[in-house]
Amino acid sequence: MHLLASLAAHGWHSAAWRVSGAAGFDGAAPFRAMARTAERGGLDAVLLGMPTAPLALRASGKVDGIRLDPLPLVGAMIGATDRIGLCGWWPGDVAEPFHVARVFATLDHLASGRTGWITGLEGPQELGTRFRHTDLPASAEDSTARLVELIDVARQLWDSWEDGGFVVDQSSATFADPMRVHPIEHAGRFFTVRGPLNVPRPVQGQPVILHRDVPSGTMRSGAAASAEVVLAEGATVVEAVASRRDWRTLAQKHGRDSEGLRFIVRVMPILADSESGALKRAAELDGLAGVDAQQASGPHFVGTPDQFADWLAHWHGAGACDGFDILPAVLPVDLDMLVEAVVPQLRRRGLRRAGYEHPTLRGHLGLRRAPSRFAA
Amino acid sequence: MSRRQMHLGLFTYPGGHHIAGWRHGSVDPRKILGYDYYRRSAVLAERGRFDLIFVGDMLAAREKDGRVIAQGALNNIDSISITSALAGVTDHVGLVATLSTTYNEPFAIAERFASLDHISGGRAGWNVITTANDDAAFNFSRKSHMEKTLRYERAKEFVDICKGLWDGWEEGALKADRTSGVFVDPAKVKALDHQGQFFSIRGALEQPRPPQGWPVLVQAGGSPAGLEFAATIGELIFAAQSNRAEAVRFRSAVKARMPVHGRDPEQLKVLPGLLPILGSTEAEALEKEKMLNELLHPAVGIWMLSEQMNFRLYDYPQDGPLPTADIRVTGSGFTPRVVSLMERADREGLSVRDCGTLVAASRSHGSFVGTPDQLIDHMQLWQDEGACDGFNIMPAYFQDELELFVDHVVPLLQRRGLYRTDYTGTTLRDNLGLKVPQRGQVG
Repeated sequence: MHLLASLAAHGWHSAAWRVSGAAGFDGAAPFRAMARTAERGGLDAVLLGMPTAPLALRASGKVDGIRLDPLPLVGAMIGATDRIGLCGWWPGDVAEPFHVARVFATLDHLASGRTGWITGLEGPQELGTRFRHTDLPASAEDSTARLVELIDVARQLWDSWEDGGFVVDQSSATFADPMRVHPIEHAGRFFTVRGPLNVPRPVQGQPVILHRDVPSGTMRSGAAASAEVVLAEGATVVEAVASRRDWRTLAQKHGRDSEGLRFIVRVMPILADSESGALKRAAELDGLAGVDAQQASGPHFVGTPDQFADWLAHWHGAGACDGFDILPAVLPVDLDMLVEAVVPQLRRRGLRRAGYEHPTLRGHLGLRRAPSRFAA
Repeated sequence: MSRRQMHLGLFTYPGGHHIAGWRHGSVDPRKILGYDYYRRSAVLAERGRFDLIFVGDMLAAREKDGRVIAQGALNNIDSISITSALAGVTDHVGLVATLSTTYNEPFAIAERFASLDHISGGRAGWNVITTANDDAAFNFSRKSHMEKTLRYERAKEFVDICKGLWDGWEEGALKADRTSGVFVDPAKVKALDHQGQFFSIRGALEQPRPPQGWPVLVQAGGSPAGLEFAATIGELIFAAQSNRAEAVRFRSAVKARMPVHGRDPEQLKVLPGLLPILGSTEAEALEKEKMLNELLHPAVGIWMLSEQMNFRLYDYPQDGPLPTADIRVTGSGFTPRVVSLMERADREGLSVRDCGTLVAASRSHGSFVGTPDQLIDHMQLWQDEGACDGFNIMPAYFQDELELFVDHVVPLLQRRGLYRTDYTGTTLRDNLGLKVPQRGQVG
């Protein structure tokens, strides 16, 4: 079972800031501490920068609506951790493939192969009027097509340096092998990119591509070309089983091995040593949040760590997913409890490994490192 | 008597600033992209009480006829990634990242630098560039690189938008009042509403005003358009003059233009690049320089020079004179550095290879070969004559040359009272002696 954790300054419940740690804003410090905790629990990765609430709610001033740019946040986690994967949200709506490829290639070198790119579309609601001057696709279909091409071009750029391209042979003064560094000459509907990238091939070949779940149909079919981790907001086991099967089938239609896709269910736990204690916490939080700030994301879980381990094992055993992205309701308490009480329980059941077995995020997730498409 | 204090930047680079530096025996070139490489530099920079670490940016690979150049050292890798990774292992040193206004979006960049400033506790700087490399256009779905005048117009509007966004959160906007449930007072978060030549943006950042108000705005262009832009927005200039008289002229010219833009000339520091090659005796330093230049592959200097002149030198005999007449006709985009090199080639009859070596050896910034004592005499002379406010140090190779500077040059500067013995503040602005900008301030 794969385990990831999405970090937020105070937590994923919209009232988390009213009960957790320091009330205000403390930059990257809470994230560093939480990433270390997650690493102590042997989690596969921490996910940074996804919004905890929609823009309208963030702008209301009633929730912790502060959002640090995910990329410097990922950078700041590199020195704070050694083994855990570090994934950052960079939506594709306005992104340029050369920037995405350059930044994630750099992060992957700095983090020795521990990075992943979380992508998807924010959509017009989130973008608001911040990019009025840009010539963005008007329809959802075209936005999706742009995103699919964006990911494809970024991956081509990561491949543009073969593994043998970065020669750095001091005695012959050969820095790069020109025959193993390739212009990509991409000319598509949305992007024209010559390449090559000016960063050698990332440690993982390509950073892991995490994709937010999208509805079945054209959008999902396009995303299935490249998504390696799907972050799903599954409501029931039955729905999740069907979604997972759909994603795997679509990936196979792109000629991919369905084992190269990890379907991950996002869940927000509210934990306590006793069930009544957990219910009490949940009621307090919901009461503080009020009706207009009720959290609307995915399944919640309220109970003890043992009950949560049962719940996770049940979903996983039923084929609903390959693992979970934990959205701790209140940080750091729910993450601490996950690491101290839930992970050991999963280990006893043989569902989690005892510690890290690989140096890279691909290794943690059991995903293949493919050779460059340009390699002879 | 307290003397005018010198400021020091550390310019990082994969391998070293001498273009053959990566071939030095002390460098493990397979490690130059890893976190530890940058971390070690940052630790040394703080030990030397440097004001800042500077990371450049390029948006295209160096190439010739569609292929990367085998001998070409690498460009900087992404500067925001490096500086944010260093924020956690450093406490005092400023972190200056470079991003282009020609190939980015203002909202995203304002957000990125605000975050770097928050993450580092007020130590961020933004080197604002318009990208000089024509090839970048082909990586960004454009048919051609934007023309220079337009690039600077766009840059001005871009920076104005960023300032507006950084100023969006008023004092006291963040309440975090658990009792009333008010996290932020929305009335104190002002959306920017901008409609200009290049951009149309309405919105507010989702972050409090950065600790420094704005990150320190850095500028690096030496052309007339670059000079005017620096006078308009620059608080720190990474200058390229390698000649003292030119440097004096440049610094006073920028300062003279600042009041025109409503700015105080004191709110500007000029740090020329300086590549020191040090020895315990002059002979030892010269020997080191010779050894580095012998490591230089002749092809490297020739492509560097071709790139800087937009002129193919490959077709000319390497031992023949630099074809300055042809270059003046068909070359383009000459920076002041290139112009002065051509003048020198005419005067001294330098060959294509000589010129390539000169450019490659110092990456066309100022260099100095000698003992630490000689170097600080040189630095002091520049400072005393008004050529600069300090230097952006470009070690020939990492980490040994940086360590030499930190352990043998910094203490001498301190002994002469030219350089701080400890950090004086917590932010980059504090250390540089730059004021926190008022909201809505011009320039």
